[in-house]
Amino acid sequence: MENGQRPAGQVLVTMVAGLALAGFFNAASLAGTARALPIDTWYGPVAVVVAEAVETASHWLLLDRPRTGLDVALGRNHPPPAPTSDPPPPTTTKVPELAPTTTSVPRNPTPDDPVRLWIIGDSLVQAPGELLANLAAESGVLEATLDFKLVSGLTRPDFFDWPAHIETTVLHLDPEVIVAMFGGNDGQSVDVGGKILVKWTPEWLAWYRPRVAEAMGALEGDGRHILWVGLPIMRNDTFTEHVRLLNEIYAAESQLHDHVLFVDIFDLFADASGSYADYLTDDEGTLRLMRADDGAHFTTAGGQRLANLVYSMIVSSFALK
Amino acid sequence: MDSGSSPYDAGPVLFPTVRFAVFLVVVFLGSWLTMPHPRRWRWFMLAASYFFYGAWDWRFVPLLAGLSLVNQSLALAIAKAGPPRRRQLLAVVVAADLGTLGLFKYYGFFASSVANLATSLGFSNPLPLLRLVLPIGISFITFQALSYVIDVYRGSLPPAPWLDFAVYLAFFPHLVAGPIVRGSELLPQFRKPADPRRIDFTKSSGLIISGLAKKIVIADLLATSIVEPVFSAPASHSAFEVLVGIYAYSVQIFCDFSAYTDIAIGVAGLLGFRFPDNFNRPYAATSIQDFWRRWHMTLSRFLRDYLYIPLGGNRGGKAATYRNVMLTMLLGGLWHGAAWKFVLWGGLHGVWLAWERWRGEATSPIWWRRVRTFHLVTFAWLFFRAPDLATVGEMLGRLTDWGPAPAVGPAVLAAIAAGIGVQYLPADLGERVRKRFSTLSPVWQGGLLALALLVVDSLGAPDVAAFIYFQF
Repeated sequence: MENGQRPAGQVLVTMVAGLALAGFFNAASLAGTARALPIDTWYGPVAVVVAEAVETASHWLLLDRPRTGLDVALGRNHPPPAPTSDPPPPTTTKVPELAPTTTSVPRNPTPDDPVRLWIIGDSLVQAPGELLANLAAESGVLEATLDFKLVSGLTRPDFFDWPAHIETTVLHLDPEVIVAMFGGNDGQSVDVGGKILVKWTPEWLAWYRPRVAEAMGALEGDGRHILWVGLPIMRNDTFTEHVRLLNEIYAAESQLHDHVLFVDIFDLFADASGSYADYLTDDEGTLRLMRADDGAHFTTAGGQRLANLVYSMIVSSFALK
Repeated sequence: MDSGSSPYDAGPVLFPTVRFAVFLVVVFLGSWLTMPHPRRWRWFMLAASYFFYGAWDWRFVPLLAGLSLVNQSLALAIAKAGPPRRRQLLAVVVAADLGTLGLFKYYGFFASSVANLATSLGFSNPLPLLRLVLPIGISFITFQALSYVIDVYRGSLPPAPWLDFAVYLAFFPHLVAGPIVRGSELLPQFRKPADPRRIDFTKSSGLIISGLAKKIVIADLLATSIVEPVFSAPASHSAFEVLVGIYAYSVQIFCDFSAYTDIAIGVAGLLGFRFPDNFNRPYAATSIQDFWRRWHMTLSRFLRDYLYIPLGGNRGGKAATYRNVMLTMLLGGLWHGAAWKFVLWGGLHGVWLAWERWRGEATSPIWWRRVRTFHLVTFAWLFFRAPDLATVGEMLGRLTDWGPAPAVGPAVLAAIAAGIGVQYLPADLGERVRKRFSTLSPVWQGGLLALALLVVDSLGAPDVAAFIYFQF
């Protein structure tokens, strides 16, 4: 054929073969994507079975070697490191042997000795986290690190293992204050030892609560101060009911941890009647759009509203000016 | 999020996903199987395109169908009507399309502005604060619908059959972020079935792979590594980080947007259709006027033919030309969103375009004109990307505060260099590569495509972000 033109059948075979081969090359990445799908749908388990079969075959046929080699060359053969320029700590270091964490609050931070703030969570924390980091930088005495992972949560460690990430990261970030916001993606049924726990059932809630306790415990360590930010009211009524269930767990569990403070923001994004509101008045008295199109995430104004609240709590805790 | 909008859900059929790859293979097969039966093909492609659109939000599909219905009805009526009535009908369709666009795009801003004004004057809010979710690609859909009806009104395009128009408006490769394909470019292709023995696989696959590389390896990496952190928290970053962040956005928006249209053109090519080019190495432009001949070319063409020329173009003397240029650029800016930053962005380009016309032919060396044009464009992008004008001021203020720049790593600098470097590759390089690729057997071609996907996935950012122009 001239000029790169091919008949449709040949194109289809080339395309399918190319995609299939790419699937074998990128089998691990593919399997990771499949595992992020909800397991209580028809396509989630199917995708996992197919992707894991491809992964096994790829490994057996050594087709995963090029990707492994590239990942090693690019330094991506380990779980994503914490966003810091510091070198990772030696893997043999044990948590108790860390440099002692600063637990005395309040203290008088200075530009040379700022309070180390770590902001973590899922996509919901992105906008307020970035704005909180900006407020922290403007203060000159807070050093913030924002560390969020899209579509992550506490129910699917197979997709992203937050407790493990926390344990690794606190070793070298050594934060004094941690702002954590989870739950937006946690409404998923889970497979526990072959038994499917359907999301929002009492069994699922009973399973979920220890996950929260585990995360709080990992964050708290031997005395770090945690601001556990709850979830706001959502546009979707069903989602709002689920948010209430999650917030109850966060509030109850925070009572059991000495250094965890639950920040209830449910009503921060409600109007005077307690209903969900897209538009709310900001600190300057101007009506602003607070929530994104999906009725869940925050706009810049919404993120600022939440960041201001959390920042004011940190300021009062540390007597910052 | 949960309850219907979880990121874990199946979600939209974004181009750089496995989901889209599966969709494309199915549609490719169905399209070429039904191609010999024109009516069947139209229904198949309409269903596939509506499925593609509905994957974002099924509520958008009736809107798309409704826009098709209204525009086609009025186009047919215009074609049959006499001169005075034609003009009235055109006014109705322009009002309907721009009204739809305005309602979704500007109502929230307008209602909250009115509410703020009313409150400051001591009145209660007169308008309901409805939150209308912006249907994805609504601008591109209404622009294409408008171009079709206006062309019918001008007599340059005969009205298409109902089904052809519905497929034209919904055709999934261009549906959500262009390129803006005119009826006169696509509708005739529907009437003449493509030859299944002559698919330009080399060019199409090359465009798709290069688009994926630009999007995943460059645009998304820059977005997550430097652009988003710097633009959302400038106070946390040093002068060098802010400066690199500004350059990085310039590269990001080019790689992101041109990637989408490259993939769209490539996908259309696989289905046997030709789309117009949308980018031609815009950062190698030697003037702002040259830039707009190379950047989002189908929008520039749309604004020229349906706004600038009807305003009078350059036919009314220098002052009128400057006014028309300014108006076109200001409205082009406002099209991106109801915010002063977009107006300023358009206004800056308008002023520079007017200045170039006033100054006449440039005599400075070409390298200097290229550097100057790139920096003017990059400076304007600062207004475009920053969440508000206060952030623009804050970022410019940070440019004197030098310090460590941990956010600027080798990967960021390499991505910026690559994004700018591709603008200066020899013009015939792509053609030479395609020629070489086309001589390979299908086995080798498939293998090379797989290797390209391996490299792209390895180098790319872990999370695929939505394309920037989806929001417009």
